[in-house]
Amino acid sequence: MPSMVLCPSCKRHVFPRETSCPFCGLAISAEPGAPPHALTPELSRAQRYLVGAAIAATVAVAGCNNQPARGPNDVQTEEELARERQKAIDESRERHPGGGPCVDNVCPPYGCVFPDEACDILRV
Amino acid sequence: MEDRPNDPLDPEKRRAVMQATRPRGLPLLPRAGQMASEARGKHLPLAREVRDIDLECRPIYAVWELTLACDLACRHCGSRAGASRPDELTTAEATDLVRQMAALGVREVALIGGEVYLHEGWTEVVREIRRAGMQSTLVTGGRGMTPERARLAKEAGVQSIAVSIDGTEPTHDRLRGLSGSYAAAVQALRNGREAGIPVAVNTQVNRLNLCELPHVFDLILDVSAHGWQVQLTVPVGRAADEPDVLLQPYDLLELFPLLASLKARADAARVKMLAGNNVGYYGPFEHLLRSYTTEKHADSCSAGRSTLGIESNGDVKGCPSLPTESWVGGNVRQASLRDIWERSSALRHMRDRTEEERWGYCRTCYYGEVCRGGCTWMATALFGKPGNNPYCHHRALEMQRLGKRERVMRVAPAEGLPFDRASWALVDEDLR
Ligand code: SF4
Ligand code: SF4
Ligand SMILES: [Zn+2]
Repeated sequence: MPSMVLCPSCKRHVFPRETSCPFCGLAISAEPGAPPHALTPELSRAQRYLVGAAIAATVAVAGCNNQPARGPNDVQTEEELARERQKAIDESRERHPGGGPCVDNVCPPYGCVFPDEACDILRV
Repeated sequence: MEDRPNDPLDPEKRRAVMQATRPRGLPLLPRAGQMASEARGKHLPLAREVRDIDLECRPIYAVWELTLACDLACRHCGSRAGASRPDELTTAEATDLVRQMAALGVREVALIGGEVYLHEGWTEVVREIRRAGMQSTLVTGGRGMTPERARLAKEAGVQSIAVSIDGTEPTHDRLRGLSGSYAAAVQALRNGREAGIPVAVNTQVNRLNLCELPHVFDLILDVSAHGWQVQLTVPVGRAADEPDVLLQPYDLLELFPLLASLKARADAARVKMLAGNNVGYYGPFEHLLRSYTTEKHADSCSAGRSTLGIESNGDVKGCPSLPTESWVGGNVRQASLRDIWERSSALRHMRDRTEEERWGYCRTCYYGEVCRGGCTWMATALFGKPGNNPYCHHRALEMQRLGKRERVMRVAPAEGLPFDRASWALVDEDLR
């Protein structure tokens, strides 16, 4: 599955093969590593957690839920990403010693929201 | 206090819909025999070979209708719950299925109904889920989630309870078909918390409650819920009986800015707000609404790829919401869960989809290769097959750009069985 980038002007997802945004016309740089308008894929804590938990527990799932290839507009290097992932795995292990609940980009079709990210802020 | 969002219903129409009686007379419930596994079509034989893709796809998330027995008879219930199925799994069969799920790689089991607590062995099933190392969550309408049951849930190991809240009290009670159901649902949230279980809220969005979503959010803050999942009401089961309640595709133009503003409030309040899989797709708010995914946008349907659905008689589907007739891959009394997951054509469907499956607008859509026509549940409910979904923000925006909009119109009613569908026509018309 091709990765998509976010147009910084109109906030629409755009395929990295585009040279300009098909929705607002903004020119999109295709230069790896130097994207004037690219979305920096900085992972939030929640995202790091999801990535980490996914990798920690589901190597086997990768072929089915492919993480997309890096887009040319992504500015993070593979090494940086690997470090982020490792950190997320470590954090996940700390918080869920038995193996964290992983949603791996799977949104519950309907039903429950698991308190994964919320587990350290809940005041139950 | 923010402005009340625009109501898709004018006041007169709203009054009429609020006061409408149930469209189907008694009996509300399908006859028991019609709900048996055997009565709902023969399951296709399993393939002989297991392919690599079948081994790569593992069910991460299982949604399990433990019983169809329910103490409510909601007017938008897709499974037309109320009476239990005549051939539901016993507690011993259910706990065996739990172990099969764990062996297959399931990591979270959400128990749904009907009402989970009306299955005699529900606490034992929860215990087994936890013993097998999986996460246990539970969904309830809340009518009978008493302090005692909440305590039993906690003792058994339930880790989160989601209660359905569908708007303000009058709207909720109208949709649930029972006055007092809103008060009971709110009390269920409080009972869950008092028992020490994190609570979440599920909301189905439709024309009656779209403008009441801010009210639901206020309640979420009031009861300190940790999560909120919103889904569109899908025209299956009883929801297909009341077309006036359903959103029209062009209502998404109103809904999405509202969801985005609520998402910002949810983030600030550290409430995990999830736009469900049928809240589609790829508009200018996608990155906000799906910020919890690694890609910040929707993926294609996960049924049979990472999602597993079980009906209470042991019928296995790729997603709990898909219509029984064409999407059950087999029954755990006849084959192992692993064999059904890996070798049934129904479960393999989403693994094997091709470009050819997309049709209508979705066929030529810019996002088609990633989205693949959105939620199979929604598309199948409308048109009997996946691959074309008008409930999509990108699509509504593109229509708007052309001075057009799409409207769905029911042309024949549903039969009256769990997860059945009516027939719908899609009308292209000028924007008014
Ligand atoms: S129009 Fe269809 S394929 Fe395109 S984004 Fe919407 S649901 Fe997906
Ligand atoms: S049918 Fe819809 S709800 Fe079910 S898994 Fe597919 S996208 Fe999700
Ligand atoms: Zn743009």
